[in-house]
Amino acid sequence: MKDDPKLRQTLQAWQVSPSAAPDFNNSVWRRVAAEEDHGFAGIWTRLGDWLLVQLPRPAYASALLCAAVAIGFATASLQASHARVNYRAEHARQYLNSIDPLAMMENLPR
Amino acid sequence: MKRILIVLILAVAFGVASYRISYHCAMASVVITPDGTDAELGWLKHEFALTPAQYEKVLALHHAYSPVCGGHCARYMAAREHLKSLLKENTAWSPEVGATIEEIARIRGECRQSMLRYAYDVAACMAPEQGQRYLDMIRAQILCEDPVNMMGNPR
Repeated sequence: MKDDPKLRQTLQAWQVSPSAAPDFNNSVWRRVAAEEDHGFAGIWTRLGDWLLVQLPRPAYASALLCAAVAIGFATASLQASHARVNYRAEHARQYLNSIDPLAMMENLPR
Repeated sequence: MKRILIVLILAVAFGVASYRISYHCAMASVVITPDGTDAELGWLKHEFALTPAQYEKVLALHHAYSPVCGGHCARYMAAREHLKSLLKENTAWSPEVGATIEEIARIRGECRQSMLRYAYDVAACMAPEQGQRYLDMIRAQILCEDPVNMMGNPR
C-alpha cells in the first residue's frame, strides 16, 4: 500500500484550499490588541527587572553615583548663584541706606 | 533587592554631600565673616576689592560722614513732622506751609550734596575702575534707578 504509485501521485497532486474561519479578521485584530497591551505592561516589567538586576552592577551603579554627584553639584551652583545675587543686592541696599538719609527715612516705619 | 537599596541610598548620600560641599564652596567667597565692623562696610570691602589701606581710609570717611548723615536725617524728619502737623491743622494755604516745604526741599538738596561729596571721597580711595563702579552705583541711587544693576559685576 505504501508503495502504491497511483496513491502517491494522487497525494502529490492533491491541493487543499481551506476557507478562512468566519471570525478570522476580528480574531487577528483582537490578538494584535492583546499583544500591544501586554507590550505596554511589559515595559514596566522589563524596567523593574532592569533596576533590580542590572542597576546594582558596578558599571551602572557607578554611573548612577556620578549622576547623583553631578545633579547635586548643578543644583548647588544654581542655588548659590541666586543666593549670591540676593546677598549682593541686599548688602548694596543696606550700604546705600546707611549713607543716604532720604533712603534711610523711606525705610522707617511711618 | 538589598543591593539596589544600598545603591540608591549611596546615590542619595553622594548627591546630598555633593550639593552641600558645592554650595558651601560657592558661598564661601561671598559670605562675610563679621570682624567687628558693620556688615555693609564688610560688603563694600569685598565688593570693591579694597586693600586694607584703602579700607582704613574708607572706614575713616564713613565714620566721619555718619554723624553728618544722621544730622540730615534728623532735620529732614523734624521738617516732615512739622509739615504733617501743619497740614493736619490748616485748611487753607499758609506761608508757614510753604516755608516748611521749601525747608524740606533744601534739606533734601543738602543730603544729596553731602552724600555725593562723601561718595567722591570714597571713590577716590579705590582703584580707578572700582571707583567708577562705585560711582555708578551712587549715581543710580541718586537718580532713583536700580543701583545693584548699575554697578555691574565685581572684577
